[in-house]
Amino acid sequence: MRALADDLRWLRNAAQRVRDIDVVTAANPPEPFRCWLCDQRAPARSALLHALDSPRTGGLTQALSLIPPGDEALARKRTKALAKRVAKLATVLDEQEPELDELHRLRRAIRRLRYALEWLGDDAKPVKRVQEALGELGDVRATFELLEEFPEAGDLGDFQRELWARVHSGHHKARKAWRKARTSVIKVRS
Amino acid sequence: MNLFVVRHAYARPAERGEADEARPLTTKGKQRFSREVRAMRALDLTFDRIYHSPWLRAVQTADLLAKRLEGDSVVTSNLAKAPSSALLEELEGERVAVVGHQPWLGELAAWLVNGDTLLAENWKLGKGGVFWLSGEPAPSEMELRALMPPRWLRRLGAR
Repeated sequence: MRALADDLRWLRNAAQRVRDIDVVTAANPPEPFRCWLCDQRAPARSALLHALDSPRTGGLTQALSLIPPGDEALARKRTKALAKRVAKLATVLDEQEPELDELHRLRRAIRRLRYALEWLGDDAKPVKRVQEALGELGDVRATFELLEEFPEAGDLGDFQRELWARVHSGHHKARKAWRKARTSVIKVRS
Repeated sequence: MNLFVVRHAYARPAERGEADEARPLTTKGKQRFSREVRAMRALDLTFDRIYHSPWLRAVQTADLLAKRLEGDSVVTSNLAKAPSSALLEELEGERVAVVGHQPWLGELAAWLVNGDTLLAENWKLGKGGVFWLSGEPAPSEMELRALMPPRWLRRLGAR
């Protein structure tokens, strides 16, 4: 449904900055970066509260509550398409040094597939494991994005090297999880 | 701003125990409104924003109308009640559609054109009908450019 899709995206974007700041802060980054994150949180939280209090969020909540239950046959058809997309995007895991943005796209596709499988009552565990592995990479990506805004990021060389080590390890874990999940995804696709 | 005030398409009556807000469009209502959307295509009418009420029949109508959307679709609780300044403050864009319900849409049009919601009885709008207003979205600051009755749009869309 096109109507409501933009609203869901808007709400996700409204929540994202606070979420990212909280995730990065919880990972205990170096002191100056942590202090900067604390300063960023108040305006981000204020913007989120404003969004949550808006007629758009109120309308979205009511509209979602009124949507009739989904049709299972249609859901299965769409889940097949999601599995196909995941299988296509997952080829990025075979690359030696995949880009974080590509892994992020894969993570989002996998998340959709997992929720679709869960809604249908199918086994989503293998897919969930890939999602979790990619989720760690998503947190690193969020850290890099916030570091780009941090004026003293150049002084945090060790921290950035540590982040890249997490990328390599996360990539390895995601690849391993994908090897186990691939068969079940192909089964959904066909 | 060009403001297209669109009443939702034909919905079925509420079933026993069903909330009025949950009434869906009928199959015929969807087909007829799809023809109207085709007419809008023939008229080269596009929207850079569609605002709609959260009630199911308005959501489904907005979803059909989204074929003519070149920007964002926005759901707002301000279209599920009498028109207010809060609704006008929300409106952004040059070619904007609002999808909602009577009598509030009539009140909205009367307010924007005549400056008084009490004149709403002169602003009757059939299901799937459209008022095209232009000007600043403020009381008495808009003028009626066209009234597009649903039957006229459907005929145009069927060609």
